[in-house]
Amino acid sequence: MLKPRRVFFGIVVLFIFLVALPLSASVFIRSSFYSLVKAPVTFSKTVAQTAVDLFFFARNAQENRSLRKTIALMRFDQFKLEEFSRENVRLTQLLELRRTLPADVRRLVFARVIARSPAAWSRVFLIDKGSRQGVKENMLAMSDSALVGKVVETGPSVSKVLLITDPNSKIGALIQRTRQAGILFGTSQGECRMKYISVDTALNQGDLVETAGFGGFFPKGLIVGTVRRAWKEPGQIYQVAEVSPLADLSRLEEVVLVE
Amino acid sequence: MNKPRVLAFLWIFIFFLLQNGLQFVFPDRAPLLLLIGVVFYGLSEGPLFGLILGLYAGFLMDIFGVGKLGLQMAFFGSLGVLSGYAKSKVFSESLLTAILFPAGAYYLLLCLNFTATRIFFEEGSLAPAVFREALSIPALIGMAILSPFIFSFLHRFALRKRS
Repeated sequence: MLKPRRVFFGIVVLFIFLVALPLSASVFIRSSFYSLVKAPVTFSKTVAQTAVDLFFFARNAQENRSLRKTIALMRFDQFKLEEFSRENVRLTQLLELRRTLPADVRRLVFARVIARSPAAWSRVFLIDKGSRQGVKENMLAMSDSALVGKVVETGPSVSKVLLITDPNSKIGALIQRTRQAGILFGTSQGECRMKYISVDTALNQGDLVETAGFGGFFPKGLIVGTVRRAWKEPGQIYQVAEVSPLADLSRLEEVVLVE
Repeated sequence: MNKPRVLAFLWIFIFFLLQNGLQFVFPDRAPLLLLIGVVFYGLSEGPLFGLILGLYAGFLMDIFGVGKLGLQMAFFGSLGVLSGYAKSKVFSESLLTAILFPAGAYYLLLCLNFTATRIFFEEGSLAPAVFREALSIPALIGMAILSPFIFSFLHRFALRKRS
């Protein structure tokens, strides 16, 4: 008969062993396992996605009609944007400003989301591209032209992306209007917040938040979301802003990885 | 190890795949099937098997984690052992057990994970905020509704026949 003390001792020993494993060994074990589970996990996702598509057929048809209208409107907006873009080029040349956003992005990789973390406290997903396709750690993941997360681990053909709403995620960001910098991080409730913003900065609801690109580690100027509300933490000298991501993080299917 | 016990690993892996599929249908709201499986086998087969299966399910969960391996293995393993020790005290086929145990285990798991998150990644008070945040009523109701069906299914197809 198994004694409770032995069971407890066994768990403690195993836990200590795993904690003592170097991080590189943990990453190696995980990446090896990704390749093993890639096929069944992709299959389960395809089945679920098909079921959802069939179940929401009427809603999708409605959405399709609505999107057609949006596209027609966007075509009109595109003409206007082209005009603005040309004007921007002229003004940039006049002011001799450096164009930061396009110059920063060196490479793009398109990937499909094949699995999401089953845990409610963790916001991680797997994509079907890995180091063989040129995916590297710390590449930023974008969807709907907005930042959704960053690559934290890569296997040969699968990589792991950490969403900006995960508590592990920390990315340098700034408020577009005021140029005030801070750190964007996730919370255990799945919210996205930005802290270390100076209390002197007046934040408005709807202010755009973008990547800061300090040190050249991440591309600069990628849109993340908008400020929903801001407050001063008790006893702190900075304020915190709750940020609503522009991309719908609960329905990610494809992402673009940028370097 | 007998055949039903070997099959238990397969069931847990199937639950893992189903869980992945459900995450696309109900993002962030899908019940934790893996935990229902671990609690069921703990209650049916005892603490040792509950521990082993918990460690296996925890490893599958850890695959989606970040950083070092082992946290979910420890949590799931502990919940498997706790369910196993409850084997002699409760009737595993009763509806009340099937409703209360997985939901209770899920609440405990959320508390443990929120505590770990607070300790390692966030600043802020632990209790009672953690206990309050973990009290996610929709998720607990989801677990309580689904678990009797999974218990019944596993009782019928996954356990060895007792003479």
